[in-house]
Amino acid sequence: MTIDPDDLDAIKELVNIGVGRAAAMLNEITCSHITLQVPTLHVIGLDELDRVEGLSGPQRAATVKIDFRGFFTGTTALIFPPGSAAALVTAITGEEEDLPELDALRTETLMEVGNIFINGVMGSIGNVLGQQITYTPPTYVEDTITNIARTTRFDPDERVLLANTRFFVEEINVEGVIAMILEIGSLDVLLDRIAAVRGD
Amino acid sequence: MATRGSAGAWQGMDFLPVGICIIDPEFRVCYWNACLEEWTGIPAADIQGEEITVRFPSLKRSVITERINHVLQGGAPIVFSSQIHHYLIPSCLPDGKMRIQHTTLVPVAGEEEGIYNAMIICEDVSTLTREVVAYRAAKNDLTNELEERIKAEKELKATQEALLAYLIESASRVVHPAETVRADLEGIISDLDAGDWRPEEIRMQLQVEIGMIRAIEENLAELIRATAGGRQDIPESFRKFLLNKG
Repeated sequence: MTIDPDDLDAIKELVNIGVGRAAAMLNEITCSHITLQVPTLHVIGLDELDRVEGLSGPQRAATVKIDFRGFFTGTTALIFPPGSAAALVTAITGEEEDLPELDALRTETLMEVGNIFINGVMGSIGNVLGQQITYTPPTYVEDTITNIARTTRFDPDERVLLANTRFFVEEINVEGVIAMILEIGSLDVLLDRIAAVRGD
Repeated sequence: MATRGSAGAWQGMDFLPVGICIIDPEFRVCYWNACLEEWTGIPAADIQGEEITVRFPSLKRSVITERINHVLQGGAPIVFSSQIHHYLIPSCLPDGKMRIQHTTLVPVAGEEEGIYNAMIICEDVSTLTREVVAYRAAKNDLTNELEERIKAEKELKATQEALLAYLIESASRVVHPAETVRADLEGIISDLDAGDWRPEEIRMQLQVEIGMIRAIEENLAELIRATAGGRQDIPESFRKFLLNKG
């Protein structure tokens, strides 16, 4: 499935609006100066997720994900290499540790960060969709991307909106990935709504 | 349990080991479970109908109300992590310390269509927090100790290298005069064997040799003091060097 570059730009814009809101919320909560950027967005197949640069290979990824269902169904996940996730959490909480581990407390904090982030993005997309979406509470998974993709309830040929994300907190720069896995038909729903908003 | 105001569909939530509270769009408490009664000491009957921000003013902060409102509009569930917020609904542990909580808010459909209440679920993570903090402290101690050991090992290695250099230098200071003394004494023996000797010359020569032997003794005494001064672990390479030199 090919997507019109204008449609991709529109989705990227929506993601950027959501990410901007999330950054403002995170700044307020943590009193840190956090900047978020989404430099690229593209669409891939679910079976290609484990070949994404930075996520491929046997390394485990720290993932916060929220499922949504209804007329628009899928999963949105914020994925980090574990070391980056721990560095992000310690930068946000102001902890001083040279080699932080992603322990139970930091995992919980990462879940809140991911929750704010994903809610920002989904809120932005939800506004365009204009209909109620039902969400599950956020969950944390730490596994290889191959296993995470395999254990989702989706077919391997379903589409993933993949947005690279950069977090700048204080002096650190952490890169993560937002992966929105959409059930067949849901991407069309989003594209139709974007077209309607644009007046196409 | 009969005095607690939970009834109907919510009754089962009294038996859960987590604090559960439901608030309506005006932030009024609709439900307050038995666990929260026990944690806060506030009976459900006293708080039901009351605005939760009146009872707990810390919830009035915009950063909290904005997110609660998101849930009350039917948005995605939200979490308040214990590390950032510590707790949402304050309560004390039996030892007087604050109960650390992980809090989740989920939207719950209200009686009218399109109206949502927010269910606040508070999990007590005080023990977990204490254990993780203790684990981090233990890990930091071990890391510091390891760094100290690595540093001490480096220092020990440097000391051993210095000792080795010192021993080699000391040994060479001993070996050369000893060789000279041996050669001189062999010369004296040759002179004696040849009958070509004068007692005064021999005496002078032997006094020179005694002086050299004294210097060798002093060098050896200094070497013994150095090794006896806590530096007994002479490297194997130096041991071989000493053996080679006889």
